[in-house]
Amino acid sequence: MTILASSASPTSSSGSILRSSSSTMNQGGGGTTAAVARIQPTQPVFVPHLHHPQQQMASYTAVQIPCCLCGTMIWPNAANKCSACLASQLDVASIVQRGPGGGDIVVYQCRQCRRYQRFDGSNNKNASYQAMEPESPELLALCLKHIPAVSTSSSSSNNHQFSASFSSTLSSSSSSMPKFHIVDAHWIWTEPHSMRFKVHLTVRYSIEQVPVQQRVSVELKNQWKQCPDCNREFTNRTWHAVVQLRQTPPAACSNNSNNNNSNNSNGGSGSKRGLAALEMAIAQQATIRKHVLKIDATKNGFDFYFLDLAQAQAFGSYLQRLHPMRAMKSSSKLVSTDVKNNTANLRHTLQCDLVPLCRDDLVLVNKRVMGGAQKLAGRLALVDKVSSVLTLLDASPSVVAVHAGSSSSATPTTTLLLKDCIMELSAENYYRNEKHIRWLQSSDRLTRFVVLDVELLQTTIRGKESGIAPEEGGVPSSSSSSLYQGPQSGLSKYALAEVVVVRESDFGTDPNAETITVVTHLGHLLQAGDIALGYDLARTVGGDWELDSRSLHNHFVVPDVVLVKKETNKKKNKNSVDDDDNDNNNRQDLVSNKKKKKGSKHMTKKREKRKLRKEGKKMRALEESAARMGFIEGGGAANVLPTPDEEDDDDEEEGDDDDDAASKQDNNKNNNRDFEDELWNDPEMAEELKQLEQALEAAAVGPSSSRDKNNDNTSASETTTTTTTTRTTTTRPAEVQQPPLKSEPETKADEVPSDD
Amino acid sequence: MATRCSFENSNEVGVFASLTNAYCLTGIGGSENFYSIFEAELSEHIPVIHATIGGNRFVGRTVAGNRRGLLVPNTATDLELQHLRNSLPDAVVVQRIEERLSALGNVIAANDYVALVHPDTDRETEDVVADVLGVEVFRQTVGGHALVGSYSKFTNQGGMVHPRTSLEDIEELSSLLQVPLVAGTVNRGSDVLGGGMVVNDFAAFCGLDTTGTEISVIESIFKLQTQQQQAGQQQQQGLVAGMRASLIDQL
Repeated sequence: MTILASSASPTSSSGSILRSSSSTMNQGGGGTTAAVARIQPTQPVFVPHLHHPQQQMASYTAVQIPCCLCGTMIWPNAANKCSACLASQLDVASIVQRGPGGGDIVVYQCRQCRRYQRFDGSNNKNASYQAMEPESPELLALCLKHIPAVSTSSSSSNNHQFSASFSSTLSSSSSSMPKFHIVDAHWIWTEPHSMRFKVHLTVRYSIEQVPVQQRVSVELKNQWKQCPDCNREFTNRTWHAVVQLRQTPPAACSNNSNNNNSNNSNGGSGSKRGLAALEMAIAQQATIRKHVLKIDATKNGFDFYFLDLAQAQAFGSYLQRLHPMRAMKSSSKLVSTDVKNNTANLRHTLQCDLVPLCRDDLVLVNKRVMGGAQKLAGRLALVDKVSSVLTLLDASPSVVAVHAGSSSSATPTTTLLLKDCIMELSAENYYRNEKHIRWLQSSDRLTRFVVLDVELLQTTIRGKESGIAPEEGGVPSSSSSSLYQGPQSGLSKYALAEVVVVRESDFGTDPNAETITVVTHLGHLLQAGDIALGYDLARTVGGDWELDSRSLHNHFVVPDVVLVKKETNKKKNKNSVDDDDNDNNNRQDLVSNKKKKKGSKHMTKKREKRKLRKEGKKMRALEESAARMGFIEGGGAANVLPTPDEEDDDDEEEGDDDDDAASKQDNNKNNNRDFEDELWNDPEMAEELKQLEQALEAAAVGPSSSRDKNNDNTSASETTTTTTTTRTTTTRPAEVQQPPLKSEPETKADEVPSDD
Repeated sequence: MATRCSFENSNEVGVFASLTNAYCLTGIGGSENFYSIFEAELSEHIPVIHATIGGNRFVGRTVAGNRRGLLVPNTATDLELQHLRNSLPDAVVVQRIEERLSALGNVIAANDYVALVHPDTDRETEDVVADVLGVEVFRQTVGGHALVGSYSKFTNQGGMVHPRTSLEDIEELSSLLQVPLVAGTVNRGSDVLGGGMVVNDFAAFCGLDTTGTEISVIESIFKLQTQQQQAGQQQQQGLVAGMRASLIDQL
């Protein structure tokens, strides 16, 4: 008795819906050409009213009904209309196509840089521009954002605008605008020059409580609009602020006009270091110079051009952090005014003056200086470091000065603290005392000195105030500061010491060269035999420095020499090109990484000496054991002298092969100088030498004067740690000992330095 | 012949009118337009009567009846009852029943031979219905809906149920009622058939919104068409072709 409500079978219904809808659809079909709506799902199953308990377990097959409008067989839904009839009730295409404000939907692009303007809601003033490929996903997202009907975020004003225009076109049944959800979107190709984008959307909405999904295509217009970056490029006269960075050479030290010129010329070279440092810092950081439009270089500095004052001020404050400079002076110039709008067009200038001092400069601190500079008042000072603050060191620290300057110490002490000799000046301090700090000399006037002796001064024994402060000597130790200061070696960079130096030009040539005793902060860095660079104040020509009581303290003794730094070997090797000798020695040094026989006089002298001593010890130990074992016929105490002879011969031979006559002479001179140094350092050696000489004269056997001399030299080097007693029999044991020791001199020949 | 009409701009004709083979009741409206439509169609065959039940004009949903009787709820006043007794032909028995579910038009659906009642009605009501209307009473829901009078409409010729009724239910009901049934809508896709239209064996009235498709379905299932129309429609659609087959009683 099956009485079916409909003849069509359920399975083919979905197909039949589409086909029949396309054939019978006649309402509003013209507008949506490709609109085929689908109602989901295809095979509904009804949930029964759980009213009658007997009916719960039965299975239910749905029946189809004719659509009440068009008569096609459909599955029942909330509206009991087929999808086409439902879709035709709403003109989706015209709704979606509508732009904000009722017009077209527009996407803006910059003609110059071809970037697209990003969507930012109602306010389009500060929109950013982004480069996008045509028919790319980013561009698709941008287009979807522009469509008000499907946009997720919408300001209330937009909604009102939109819904007001929309509701007028709506059919009477649904009074509220349905919400469109995007299911799918893809591009429809358009000719690029048509300036149109076509997007094919699949939207889902619900009408009469029935969800409907529909495909619709939207057309967006592409219009040109200049982006702000291109706008800025195109207009002339765009900069509104400039930062003028200057570092003038420091003023002359004396009032004498004659000397001014000479001093000015001298000061010019050293004063550009601050600019160079800043230039490097700016070049490394791209973020800092992001807003700089242009950079000009002038005689004493740079000009940086910016678009507005805020950017210029940010740049200026960054520079202030890097290098001490005067407070930025700002001035502005009126370009034009707009009386009606009460606005003005200004151009601003920020003046940044760097502190003219640079590292290793010598300055004179007037005794009338105030504030934080009290420590070094009335003294000469050395500029140690120019970073965010200016660090000055006392040029010649002395005990008297310390407790005269420091007001805190009540009881006179004889200790000299390094921390009392260091003063840090911030930029404002410096400029407050600017006229009291007078530049004297810059580092291009450094002269070379040879260090003869270094004696560390006794600083306080207690606690950490001696030279065991971390990093900079004299800075209070970590007990007072809470910041982590890193691992500490226990040895500070600077230590006060009394150093005896002699001018390098005088050294060796003038036996009566004056040796100068200097108290300096380089105690840890200098050793006897080093070359130190410093200011030779005694021999400086040029002006009075107001050495009278006007600027310096009465008790301040102007030092003859102010040591600044030690000369390092690396620089010396790199810089010396003229000497073949040096080149050879460079090569040898690179290869063997050991001491050289001749040439570079200052190459690891200490190391050479130490090694020599060690070798000598070894040799002597070997000889002794050999003697004990009876290898050596001579017996008795092992002699040191023969071996130097052998080495000497070898040395001389090799030396002759390698060197020119000139360099040989040079070497001799070097030898002499070194020898003299040694003599100075070691009076015991001098004694031994004397004995040797006497012995030699007494022996008066064979060896030539040169040999004697060489003997003396080498023996001098060898006998520094010798423990042998007799030196009388020199030659014979040498010959006897020759064979067994032949190997040794050869090996030693490599090692024995040519410092002699 | 299906006629479109409206009661004071409302398409729910079945709310304000009740139609059987022997009489027709209409609610009292502001104008007599509604009444005159019925009168024009029906007055030469059956009496068309103004009525209110309990002062309310939605008489279609409060009363239920067939050609043998009329049942009114306890909300009907004596005066109204008297008026009905006076107006209706003597063959029609008017009976007031005490029932908790007093909207008898929603609760009872009946033709001249068979009736469906809401499953929750009292036993006495069921007995009274069987007695007064002279019908066989079945307690049944229609496709999950208990308000049988609202979601189904049937006459002696055929019947219609709401669209969500499953196939099995339709078969079952059809076997109970012994009439062909179809799932359909009225008034532009509305599920509520009882409120949307009134039907008897020779006339049908539905709301103004009813589409042509729905009209054709109504006319075909309730057999209201003339022979000519029937022939024409038979050619067009196979919609109710299955119902042309003779009833096969399978119990």
